[in-house]
Amino acid sequence: MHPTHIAVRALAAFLFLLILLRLSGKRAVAQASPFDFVLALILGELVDKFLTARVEARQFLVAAGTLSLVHGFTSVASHASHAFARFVEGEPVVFQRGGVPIPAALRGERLSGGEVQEMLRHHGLDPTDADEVAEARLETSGHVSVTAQGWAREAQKSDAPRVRALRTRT
Amino acid sequence: MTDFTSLFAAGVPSRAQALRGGVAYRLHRGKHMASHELWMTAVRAVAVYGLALLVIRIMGKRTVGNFTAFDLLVALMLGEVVDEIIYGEVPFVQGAVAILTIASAHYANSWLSYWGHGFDKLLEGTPTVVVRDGQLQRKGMRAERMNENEVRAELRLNDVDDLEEVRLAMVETDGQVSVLRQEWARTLQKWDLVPDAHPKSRPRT
Repeated sequence: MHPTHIAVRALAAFLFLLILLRLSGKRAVAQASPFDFVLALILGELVDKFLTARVEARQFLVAAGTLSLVHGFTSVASHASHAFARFVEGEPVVFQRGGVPIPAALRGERLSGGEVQEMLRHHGLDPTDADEVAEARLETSGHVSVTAQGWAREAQKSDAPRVRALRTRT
Repeated sequence: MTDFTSLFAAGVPSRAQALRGGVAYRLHRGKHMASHELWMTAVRAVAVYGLALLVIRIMGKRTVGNFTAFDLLVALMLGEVVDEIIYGEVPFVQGAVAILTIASAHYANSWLSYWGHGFDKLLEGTPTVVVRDGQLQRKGMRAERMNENEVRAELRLNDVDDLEEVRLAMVETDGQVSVLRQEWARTLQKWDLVPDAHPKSRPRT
């Protein structure tokens, strides 16, 4: 195959995917759900065959277009219906509450004790600080969120008057 | 001699090329792709979408959000199989079996590391300490092939500039560095200001 053919194909594929991506409204990888990521992988694979002329342009367009359409449809549908969103994305799971792990949740997500400790460490918490955690959740994006007990929350500007009051008393 | 129709056709000869070079064209399975085949491509794409969704839901959230190197590898593997299914180069059932097998193996893997301590360490590895009590740990750094600059960069990403503040910095099994600060270097908390706020009023050093 002539190199210019490949160049033309590459350019066409680039523009097509760019349009698809802009239409999908996603900006950053960080925003992407696990599923977005897998779809991006699949699209990449589809392009690959088109670039090297192992499939026709029409077939590539249909394949990539259909996938993006269906994906667009599911994201619209999961905005419209909570039940559908639950089906597609699952629900956040609380696996630790008040420093106490919840065995059923851990089993459900197959989180070992070591992994839980690792997740807490990523939030700067030693296992011995686990009681500072109000709730630790595995969010649907796969990220872990940790909320602190009221007393263990970070001090805020609004706490300053109380400190000043204490100081004047002594 | 570039004719535009052949530009976006597959590597097999187009009709125009075929008229020029008969034999190669006849060797190809038929004529230009039938519109039927395009419809089938669309149908397979939808089916693959459903399958991928199912696999991801079953494998659980952390599989993709909390990527370990191996998770990434599995995702890439799945992606490789999928395009051939969509283009109809591999029968759907065969492709589905491949995908489901990989997914099951990955699922079983996570069960093993959940149940057994030995497996946990074998399959996922153990965290490596790179800083302990403000001291760089050369042994751990060598094991992770990190130099001092990289360690310091990781600490800065965790909002730590002064090595002294670090009690423990570890390269976790997912490749990210976690930082535990010395007690005195931790962020001020509510109960530091109002000690009675804490139910157990644990002494703080």
